[in-house]
Amino acid sequence: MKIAIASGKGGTGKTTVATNLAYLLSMEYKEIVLVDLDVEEPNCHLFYFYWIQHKSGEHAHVLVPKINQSLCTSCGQCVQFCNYNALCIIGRAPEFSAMVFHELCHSCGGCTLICPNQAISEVKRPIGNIVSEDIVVADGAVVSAGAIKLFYGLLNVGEAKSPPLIALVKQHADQYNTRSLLEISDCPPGTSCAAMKSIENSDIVFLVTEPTAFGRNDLALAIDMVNCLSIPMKIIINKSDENDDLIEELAAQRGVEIIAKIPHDIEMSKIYSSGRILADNNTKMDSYLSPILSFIRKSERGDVR
Amino acid sequence: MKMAISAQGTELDSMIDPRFGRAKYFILFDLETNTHKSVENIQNLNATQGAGIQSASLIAKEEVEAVITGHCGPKAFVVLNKAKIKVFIKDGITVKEAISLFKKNKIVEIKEANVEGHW
Repeated sequence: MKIAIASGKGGTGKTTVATNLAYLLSMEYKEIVLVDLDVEEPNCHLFYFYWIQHKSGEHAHVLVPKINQSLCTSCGQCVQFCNYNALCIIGRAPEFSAMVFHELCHSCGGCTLICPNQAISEVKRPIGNIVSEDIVVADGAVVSAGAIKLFYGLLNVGEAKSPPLIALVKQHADQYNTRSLLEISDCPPGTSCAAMKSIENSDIVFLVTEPTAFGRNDLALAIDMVNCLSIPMKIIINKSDENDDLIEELAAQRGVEIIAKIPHDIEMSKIYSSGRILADNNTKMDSYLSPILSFIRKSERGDVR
Repeated sequence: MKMAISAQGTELDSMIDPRFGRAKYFILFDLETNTHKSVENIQNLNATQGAGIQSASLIAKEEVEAVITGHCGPKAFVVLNKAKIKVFIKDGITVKEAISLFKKNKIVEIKEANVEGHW
């Protein structure tokens, strides 16, 4: 089962939910996969700092066109084809220059195919790194209580597009997860391509929100987005307080269940800010998340879909 | 010599369009014959990205040697440079006024982009 933790608004508690769920589920299921898809600022790994056993990384690339000017006739078919204005030809043969703007290219490969003179080949352009970590969590005195295989992406500074790296991180997780282990994805906020790419192919999306006007507004957008992708969803209210009706009203209107509430609590904020797992630090996090855990248990057993 | 001016309208009385890549129109002016024509830039105005590149490419096809515009970003500048088109910066006046200042050598040529991309 693939579980996506997403939100409209940023800073509502996606990582809080993802890291604590991963911790609790790793002990229950012995091994799970956690994928941090917020490639612009991944932070799940920080919460398992003391439990990381092994870490490895590799470079991530996309393919971009390279024009061999001695084969190019300046016909301009590639320029016409490119939807992203990444190519440009100045002048006409024999005196011309064909230019490629890599940062605008979406790596569709169309120009390479359409060129009648095979003047375009594809070359690798680095966009970031993919990291994998083996984490063995402890539960009090039990040192090897559960294992988490964590994958995350690190987008190069200045890189404008994150979806290609998100797709590569997901591909890595898929290649590893051939045993249908539970998989949790911590998604980037918002409703843009990055968020949609992250949620794609999930079995369930948990939308984390907060009881504020911003939280409600962005939750409404996120619900629309998840509906577009036809994936079942449930809402988690974090920083729950006397304003929960803001979210409850919207949830009722849209027919989305609120599955859990995590109270607004200064002690929990302090533990989180020091980079520790709440469920491992004498909070009631496990009971706040227990409706989610039972839902996952039932789904894994095949009781619900 | 032919030149292009980014413009908000199609006439010489139109104001300069401060944007190069997403200019509404380009007025092409021939300094020898004192005649002009305008080209619509709607396709690049509505482009999701790369507007500067394609606008530069568009005026390069018209074989102009200079352009007057309000602002020019780095990608547009690279293409204009490759096409050997000189870039002059002026804003807040009409196309006609800009041409007259240009003739008197009173507009500054820039040797690199004067704004970041997507300013």
